Amino acid sequence: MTAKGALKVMLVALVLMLATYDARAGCWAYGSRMVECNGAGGCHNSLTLSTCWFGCISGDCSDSNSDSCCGTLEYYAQIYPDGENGCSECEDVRVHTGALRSSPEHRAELLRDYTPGLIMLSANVSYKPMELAYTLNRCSHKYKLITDAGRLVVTVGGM
Amino acid sequence: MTRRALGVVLYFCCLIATVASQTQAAQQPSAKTGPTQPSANKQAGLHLVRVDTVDVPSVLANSFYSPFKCDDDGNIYFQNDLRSPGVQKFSPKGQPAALFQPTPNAGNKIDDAGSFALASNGDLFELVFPHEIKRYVFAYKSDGTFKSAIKLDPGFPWLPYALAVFPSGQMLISGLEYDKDRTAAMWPFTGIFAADGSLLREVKLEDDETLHDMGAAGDSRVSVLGNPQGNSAVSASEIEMAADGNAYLMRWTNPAIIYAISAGGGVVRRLKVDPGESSYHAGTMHVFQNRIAVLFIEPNTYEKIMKVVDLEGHELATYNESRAPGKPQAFLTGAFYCYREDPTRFTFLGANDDSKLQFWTVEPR
Repeated sequence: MTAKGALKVMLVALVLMLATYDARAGCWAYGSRMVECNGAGGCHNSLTLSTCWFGCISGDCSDSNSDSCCGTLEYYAQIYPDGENGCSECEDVRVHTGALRSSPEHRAELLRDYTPGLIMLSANVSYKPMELAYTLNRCSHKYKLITDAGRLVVTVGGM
Repeated sequence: MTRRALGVVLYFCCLIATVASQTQAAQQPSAKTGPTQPSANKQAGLHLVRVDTVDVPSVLANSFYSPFKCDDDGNIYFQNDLRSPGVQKFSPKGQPAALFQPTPNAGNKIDDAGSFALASNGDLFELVFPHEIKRYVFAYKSDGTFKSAIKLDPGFPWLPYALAVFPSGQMLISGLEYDKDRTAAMWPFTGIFAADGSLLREVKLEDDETLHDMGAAGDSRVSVLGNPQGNSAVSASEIEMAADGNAYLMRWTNPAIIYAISAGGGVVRRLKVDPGESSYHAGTMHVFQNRIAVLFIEPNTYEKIMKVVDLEGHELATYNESRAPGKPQAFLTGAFYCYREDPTRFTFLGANDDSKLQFWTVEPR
């Protein structure tokens, strides 16, 4: 290999190293922190930021994403799952059954007049919009359009 | 065939028109529910006015990480550096009083330190996240001296976010635990822990299922930037002790939902504090004796509504802070750290033009 070629390889290796130096392999969770920012011109803002904590998702965690908050860069986390089920410390995860049921009135207090995916028409009637999806027929190599027609959804006892 | 296709097109046109008109109708404020009207007190025009400023030129004030707290002597506690976790304590005059640092006292590398609580004897308890699945509470004396590391043991992996300490030493801690599908939206979990970290009792809260459902649906009111499992209604929860001996746990929702929880883990009551404006979000809550002050913030203009209620949720006062004419934002920050009565005063972390820390005291006028 010539000196020029070796230099190129070293440069590529350096770039790769710099690009991934903050990503850490292991078991991760997203931690959350509220940040209040101040800046020039009396700027105030607040963000909910994610941070890398030890947790139950196997993969890499990088906290190099950033968002400006009144001119100050605040960094937030991104987990890149590797699809492995290798976090042995997390085998004690509970199965959730028997959660306390919220009263319809209290549920409506929090949801107010908006439910994601549904168009609220009244306190207990909403419209579920039509959904379209394509599925591939692997034999004919053709796509088929599947429709889920829109419909009214009536919730017993309010939202 | 053509006629049938025309029929289908007409059907969809009618359907779209019907839904559009119904949606528009749904978005119109009805006479029954009405638009969110300002309360009588707010209309009366009681505003928050700054009456005192303390300069702390040694501290940069670009960012503060919640929570923000004060003790009975008026000392201020806050965190302003995620890279070097630690709680800073300052006197009301702006003098550094103590530093509570987990890093030198942990056996393992620290990923982060989280919320903290002040005990009635002045000790500080801080949630700490070493690089392991176990979560800890670090206890410090009021001068910052490390006392102990308490390993929390609920029996399953979780992320604790808010805590309070009862005079008995038992702790109320609220956070999120994993779903069986670890990549799915997490579930709220609240428990009473013994002073040694063992779980004494799980506290079931009525709205937890609703909050979980909102998180699972990606509802923007509780979802967290870059965090599909997160739920800010839970992770930004706050807990403070009141004069009746109960802990008051506030979910970060609109309306703010507050639960009074006894040291035994019983849910004594559920309070609702409604700012009367749907665009505001809950900010910070502080308890003074038998009153609770909740700050609500409008995220775009940063205008604020301060609601004061008693321990049963009865509204006692509403104060607001609006933009001055020509100003893009209201002047107060969201870093509300102290509430006192006689006279009614609220104190905030702020910054001067050089981004140096200031303590701002405001009064309703």
